[in-house]
Amino acid sequence: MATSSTASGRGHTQGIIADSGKMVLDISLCMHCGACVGTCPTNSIFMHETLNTFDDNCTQCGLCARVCAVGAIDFPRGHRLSRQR
Amino acid sequence: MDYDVVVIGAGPAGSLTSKYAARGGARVLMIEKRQEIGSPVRCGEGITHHFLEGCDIPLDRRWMALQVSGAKIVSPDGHVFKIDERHAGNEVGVVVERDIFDKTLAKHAAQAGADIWVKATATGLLRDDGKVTGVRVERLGEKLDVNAKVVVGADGYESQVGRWAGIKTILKSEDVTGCLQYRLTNIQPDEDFSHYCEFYLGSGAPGGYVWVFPKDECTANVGIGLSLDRLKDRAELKKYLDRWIAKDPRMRKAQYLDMVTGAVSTCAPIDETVRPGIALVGDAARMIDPITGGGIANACRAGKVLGETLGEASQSGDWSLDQLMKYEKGWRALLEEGLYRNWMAKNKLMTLTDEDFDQIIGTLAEVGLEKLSVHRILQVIKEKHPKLVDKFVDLI
Repeated sequence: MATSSTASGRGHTQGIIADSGKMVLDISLCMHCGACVGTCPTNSIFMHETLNTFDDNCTQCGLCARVCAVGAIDFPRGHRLSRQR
Repeated sequence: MDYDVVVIGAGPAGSLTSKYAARGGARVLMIEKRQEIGSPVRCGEGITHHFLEGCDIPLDRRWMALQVSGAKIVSPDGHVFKIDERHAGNEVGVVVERDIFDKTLAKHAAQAGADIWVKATATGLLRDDGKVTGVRVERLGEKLDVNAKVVVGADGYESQVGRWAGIKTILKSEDVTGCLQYRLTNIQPDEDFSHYCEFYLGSGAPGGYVWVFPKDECTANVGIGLSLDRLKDRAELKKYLDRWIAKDPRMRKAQYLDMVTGAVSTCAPIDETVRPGIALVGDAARMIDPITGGGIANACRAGKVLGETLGEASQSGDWSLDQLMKYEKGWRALLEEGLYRNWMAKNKLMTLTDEDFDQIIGTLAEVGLEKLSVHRILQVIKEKHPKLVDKFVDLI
């Protein structure tokens, strides 16, 4: 998993991004509430104490991004539904 | 390491299961992945009294924030239907300090003889010939295999245990409600504030509702739950909740004390909650009331049934699937009909327009109800607004 900081210099407000290649998680926004984990139809998200991870079964259905109350989950850069620039 | 029962998750379902299993003589271990039981709180914190006594949970000032006299249900145009608490449904009565409540229930489990670990995560099941025989645990960096006659999945909405065991707990998006809540303080109270749990229906909260549950004279949990199939964009919950708060004059000077996110299931009862060597309970078994989104009462009541079943197993030495089926049958006898009926009713409520809510709540406010039940509400609507009843015809 690639982890990069885009907190400064990119003109965008994201914090620490964890990119699984399938979905990306803004770690500074994530509340670790488990809403995405329980909603995931393929059980592709695992909730660790400080970092949720996505595995290869992810189908990019986007339900996790919709259920997340704080908008911490996004499609990866380059995906047509990504909000990252 | 060897136990009769390993319970995964130390919420109300886990603690009640552990308490009754240990009380019945089982050797019980309850594990919690967080560093602190009950925290962070993910809950609106409104409960009723009705289940507490049956689950041997004495009222205790330490976890009671305040008692309310009832519920207020408010329609989009401001019609208010007040329900006295003696007639209310599942979600009014006591507003709790959930972190203290959960610790109290865990204490009861410990006093009954259960062992409890925190910061201990279940990472997989141990199996032998199709039967679950234990659980793999990571506890403070140490990897342990814990053998058990029965593993209990009380691991909440995000439950992994059931999925690992092959039990179908996957939800359709219309049966998921995403939630966001702020605890707001410095609320300018109106006449009724802090005496009622308030519920706001309509297009301000599509397929769900906004709640205001008072914590003290100027503080409340203000939250929103929206059906996932109505959420199209990222962080939409926040937009809806912020928009609602901006319209309530009491909240003008309110400030944040905390923020809670999460999701609840609002589905029909699932097909199975036990398999050889494993049982699910509480939110993990999708036992949340689909109308109110409340999970604590059902978790406690089902936890008691499961704990008693496991206690009995420890006496007889019979840990078979047949024995576990007593739990499956027991919780269904208590909860299944109500869960199914409320799931049907929820699906109907999701089709109502703001005008429908105004008419229905207006009518209920006018007529008043001596007894609150879905049936009685429908009767009133049938008398006053026969056309509206068409939407509910198969519920009557």
